[in-house]
Amino acid sequence: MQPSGNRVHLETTLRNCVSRGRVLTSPAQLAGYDTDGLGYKEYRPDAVVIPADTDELIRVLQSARQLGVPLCFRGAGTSLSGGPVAAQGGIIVHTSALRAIRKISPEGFWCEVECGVTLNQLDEALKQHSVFYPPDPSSGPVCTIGGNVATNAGGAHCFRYGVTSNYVLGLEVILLDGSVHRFGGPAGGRGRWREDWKRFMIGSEGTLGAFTRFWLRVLPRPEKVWTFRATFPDLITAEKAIHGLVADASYPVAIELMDPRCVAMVENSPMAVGLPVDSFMLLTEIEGPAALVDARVESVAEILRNAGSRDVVYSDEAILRGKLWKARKVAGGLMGQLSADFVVQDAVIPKRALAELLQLVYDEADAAGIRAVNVFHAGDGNLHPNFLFDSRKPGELEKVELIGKRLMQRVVEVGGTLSGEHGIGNDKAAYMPLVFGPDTTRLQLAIPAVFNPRHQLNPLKVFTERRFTP
Amino acid sequence: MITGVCSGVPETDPVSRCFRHFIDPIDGVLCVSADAVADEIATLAHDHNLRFPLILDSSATLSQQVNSSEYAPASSRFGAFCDNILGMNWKMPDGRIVRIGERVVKTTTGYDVFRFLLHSCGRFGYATDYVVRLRPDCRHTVQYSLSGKTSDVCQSIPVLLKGSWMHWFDSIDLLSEGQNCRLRLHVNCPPNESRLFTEYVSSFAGSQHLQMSAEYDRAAPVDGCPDFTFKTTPDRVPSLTTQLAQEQGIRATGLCYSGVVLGYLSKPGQPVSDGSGPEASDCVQPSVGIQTEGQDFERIAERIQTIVRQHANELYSLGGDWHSRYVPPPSPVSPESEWISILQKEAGLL
Ligand SMILES: Cc1cc2nc3c(=O)[nH]c(=O)nc-3n(C[C@H](O)[C@H](O)[C@H](O)COP(=O)(O)OP(=O)(O)OC[C@H]3O[C@@H](n4cnc5c(N)ncnc54)[C@H](O)[C@@H]3O)c2cc1C
Repeated sequence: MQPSGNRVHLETTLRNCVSRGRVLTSPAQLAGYDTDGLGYKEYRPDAVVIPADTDELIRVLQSARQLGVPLCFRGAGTSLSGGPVAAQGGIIVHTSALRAIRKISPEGFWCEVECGVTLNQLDEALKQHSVFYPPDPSSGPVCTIGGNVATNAGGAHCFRYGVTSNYVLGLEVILLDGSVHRFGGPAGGRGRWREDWKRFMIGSEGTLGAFTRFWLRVLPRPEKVWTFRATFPDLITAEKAIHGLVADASYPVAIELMDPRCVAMVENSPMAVGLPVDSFMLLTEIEGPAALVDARVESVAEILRNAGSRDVVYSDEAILRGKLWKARKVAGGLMGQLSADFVVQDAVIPKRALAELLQLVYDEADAAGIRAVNVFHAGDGNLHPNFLFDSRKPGELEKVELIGKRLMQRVVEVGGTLSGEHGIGNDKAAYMPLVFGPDTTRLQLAIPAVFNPRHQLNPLKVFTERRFTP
Repeated sequence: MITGVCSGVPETDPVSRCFRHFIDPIDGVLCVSADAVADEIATLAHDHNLRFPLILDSSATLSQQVNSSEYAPASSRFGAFCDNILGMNWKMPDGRIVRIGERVVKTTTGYDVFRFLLHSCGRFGYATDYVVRLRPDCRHTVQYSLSGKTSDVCQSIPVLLKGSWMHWFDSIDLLSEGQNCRLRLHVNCPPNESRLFTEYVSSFAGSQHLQMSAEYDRAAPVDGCPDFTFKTTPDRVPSLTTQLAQEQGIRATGLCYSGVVLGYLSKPGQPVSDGSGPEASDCVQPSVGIQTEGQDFERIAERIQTIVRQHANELYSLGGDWHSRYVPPPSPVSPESEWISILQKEAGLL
């Protein structure tokens, strides 16, 4: 927090950078920016700016640099890792006004969008051209492409299609000095640059510059989709199904698993869909040309049955498909209703370590008296243990953090990684030494040294070493 | 107590975390030497009904392929090399070996140094081992060839790419040499599905005034490591491919959805269409593509430079680029030159 004299100066400077009404400083306004999707860690910014266009954004960056104030970019604030929060105070730049879809080229299979465009807004626009942009975080109705690129977001359908980095052809970034650079473009190459700098930008969590525009790769929309839901009495049978699907020529687009604790949570709620409460629930989807996917339906159902499911249900009809997805889709909302706080962890493991890691989650959570449910992208080995707790109860947050730490330690030991799609933010920055030794930490920190050497942009995120000293 | 199908085996050095060689058939990942040739990788994967689909030249090492182009024909379905290689052991310029990247298929843990270094062609060190992502091998393939008037072949491409079948072809390539061109589609599918593909392709060919022929159980196409690569947008591939192939002694392969044109020059005493690239000790070493291999090398480099000069500005204007094993990239100018110096100094990449 800035001393009050400085805050007045900050406010006046920012008001000179942007048009009227685009600087927020009252406590009630700032409170909306205290947290992200993590919810329970609060950091009050000194000011929030909502630039109307890139010129305003450039002026904000230049002023922040001159004032020596930390600066953090924010899309929709749905990050689950403590990314878009003012961990060292300062300014939050909210990108919500930069939301134009500038061009869609169905022939060139690309589109050009501004950073504040929401994922579902883009999907609606692409639909009219019979193309789609595959990354699909469940926060699609609100999350922005800027946030998606900055966290290299994934989603259920990334099993087949890959994550955001597979689809970013180019981006425009404004560095702290106000200089504007374009890395790549519709063709997805390096452009005139010798090196492929966009690679550092994707997944950089707002620590290198402000992304304003993207060129994204799109694909023709699939003609037909089949959704399958099956339950399994135990993990062995569920895993057999997962391994069978992963190896199958039908190339499912999504393979999602819900553990019995999560199934029970849904079934004991008004959202119940009639699943056996002690079961693992698997959802999978195939899509493509109608002739091809129709021919594959039986073989997918057979994989699920042969693995040990006795209730394989499937459909190609939109409403029924929605019903098959229902338990999966309502799970997140239910956790929010059932618990004052919940944290979604995000780790990727070799799939063969699934049983061990689930057991670790159960053992640790049970011993600590914390409720844990799992619903995750099983095809990719991308775990999402959810811990339900109450941060107002003394010691609960610490318990959850300890479980997170033990989990991450084991994840790395079995060959996995700390984050598959949510990013590191400040939630997991302390675990980075588990993954990076002195040589590779130096390599990692060389990147902000190029673009943001004093860590003024989004300090304390990704690496704890990234502290801004004015 | 929850029981699963299998348990863990260490695949990394406990201290350095560098990768050891392994294959994990469940995740479909394989760690091999960067000097492994495509055929060796295929053999390792084959026992598990898996394959590494991105192949430019079956006798070239993986690092030669990665350093000659970011894309191979099967990129149409599976993406670029950087989307099919997950991690690597990297030899830094001072000789230290570090691990870069992962052995799992997704990560947002830290900055993406992996993709930045993968195609840096020896400028910051080089890979000694790669962790590659394998895909299911259906053990049955069909290769379709669609030929006709150049204009008909070219006009058919956007129609083919628009349909939802496009994502099921491993490759959709436009092969062009002189006045001749044809489309090559390669499928890896279960035997019972090839009828569906054939029905679709033959009806498509008919609608586009093209003749179709099909070859069953044919190995995936390998055209060789290209002499140069142009990266553009998919809609520009047909014109760029045919335009390049009009030039004497050039064969061009357009990777239609990837927006890539691979160029092959005839070498002295070789017909252009034999598909072989130059003997490449090439891009693996820091002195990428600039070792002298005599007058032939210089002649080829000069020829490529001339071609690049004609097209570079248009490629750049779309955020595209070019790459050649024979011609070093232009020297960076400010601010890139400063960024590179800082990166090298701070990362210990000098
Ligand atoms: C209900 C729910 C479901 C979710 N499901 C998924 C899922 O399935 N898959 C998944 O990957 N994630 C998921 N998430 C997490 C989150 O939605 C993603 O991380 C998303 O990409 C964040 O987008 P955002 O616009 O909210 O970005 P924010 O949360 O505002 O910011 C995220 C990060 O990006 C940076 N940033 C934002 N905009 C810019 C910019 N223009 N320039 C530079 N940096 C910028 C911020 O500084 C921050 O570090 C979910 C979250 C919720 C709440």
